Amino acid sequence: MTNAITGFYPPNKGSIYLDGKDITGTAPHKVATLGVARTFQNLALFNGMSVLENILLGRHIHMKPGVFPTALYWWLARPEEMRNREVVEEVIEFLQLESIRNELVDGIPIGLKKRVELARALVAEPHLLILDEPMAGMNQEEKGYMARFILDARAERGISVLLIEHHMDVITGICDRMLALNYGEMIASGLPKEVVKDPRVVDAYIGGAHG
Amino acid sequence: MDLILLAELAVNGVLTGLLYSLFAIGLVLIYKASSVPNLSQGGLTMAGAYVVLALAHDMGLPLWVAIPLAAVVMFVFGMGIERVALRRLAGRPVVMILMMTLGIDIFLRGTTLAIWGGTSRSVDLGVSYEPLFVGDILVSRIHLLGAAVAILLFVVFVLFFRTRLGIRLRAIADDYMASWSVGISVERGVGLSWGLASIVAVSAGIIWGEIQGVDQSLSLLLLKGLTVAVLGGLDSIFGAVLAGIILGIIENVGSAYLDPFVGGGSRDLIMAAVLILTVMLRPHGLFGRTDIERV
Repeated sequence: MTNAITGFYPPNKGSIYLDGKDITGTAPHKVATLGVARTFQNLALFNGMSVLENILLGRHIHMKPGVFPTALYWWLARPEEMRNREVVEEVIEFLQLESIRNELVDGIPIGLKKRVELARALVAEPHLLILDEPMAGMNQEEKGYMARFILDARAERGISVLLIEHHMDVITGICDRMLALNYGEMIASGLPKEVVKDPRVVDAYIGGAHG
Repeated sequence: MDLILLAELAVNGVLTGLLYSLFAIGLVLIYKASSVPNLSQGGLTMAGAYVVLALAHDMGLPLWVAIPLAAVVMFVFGMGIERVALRRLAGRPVVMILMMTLGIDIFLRGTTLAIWGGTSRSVDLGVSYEPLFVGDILVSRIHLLGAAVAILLFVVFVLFFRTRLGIRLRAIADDYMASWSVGISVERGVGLSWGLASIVAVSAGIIWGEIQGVDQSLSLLLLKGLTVAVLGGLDSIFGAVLAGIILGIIENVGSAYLDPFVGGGSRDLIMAAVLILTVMLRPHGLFGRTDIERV
């Protein structure tokens, strides 16, 4: 589903609406410019670049590409650059990444990589943030941190968050609405507390334990 | 063998090596953006030289107009290759893209043969064939010019990869998925790398065309250029320059010592040995990223 919304693979059927606009089949890089940012289940950071460079690339859609403005009219490009840096610095501080900002992303632990990916998504200032299993491979403490970051991001920035997650405690803890999928079919939706009790959901996840 | 001769062999080796680098920089540009060794870089180089000839000799334009114009034509042509031939192969196995670039190379050789025939032609840059004396050492002027162009392009591209546009290309080289997710058009980036590599091909084509004449054999430069690029690490422009210099020296000095024993042809043997040993012992080259071997 994530890949359908973000344009990586067009859906087999149905349409995708974003803020009332049909975006079915839009190229992935264009979806990003429409205000959709995402993280990946298996991480997709730019290896060989520093944490800071990775986050700056998330700011890409707000930067004008011009070689000429930067080369010839650097005084024109400067206010824009300052604004970009401000946003980036603020997100780095928010996600507590100051201490590793200049390290290569290749070498940092997975919990931090997930956080860098979240930072890269946040600096784009998206309307919709899609988090594909942000807690995968994390221990309880790291999960707690991540949950706090997600809640704060939503509260302070007014971002809609679409969270894909298997950890039921996380979902019931931080989500407003829940939608359960089983092999691409929706099997339940509603308040998380109710959905997790739905017999079909229990069935799909625990595999007919009470059957 | 006396020292002056050895020095002369080494210096000329460096210059020739930088001419290989000039060619290899084009390979590296495309590899950096799409992780594909472009087997049509030789064909592009030859085509670049033919376009300069067509504009300068057939249409009578002065060289200072013909060369930039050829660069523009080839830039558009390179972008066109990505658009027409490669975009539809995105996501297919790399070997398919590799075969496509080989096909383009053969196509270019055939097309130039059909239009301009197989007779060797000369670019005539107006550079004197009189060798230049640097101390006691003889050097060729055209080699010197080519080496200067190689170094200039090296500096330009190192700076380019620090601009925003350059950083985008680096991001694309790193991870397509991640690039899309931050709003970078991977297709346009790969196209740009083909365009830039085609401009490099024009400069290599002019210099090499001046040295050995313009005909279809110009595309065989690919073999030496590929050896240089692999030794340098395929995705490192600095690696391509350094590997060119190293290979140039080994080839020039080595062949001077070996040729009397093997009766010529030792240049190709040295090249082959370097390529095979690099792939066996250090597949990521001197400066390439270590994860290249996994690709």
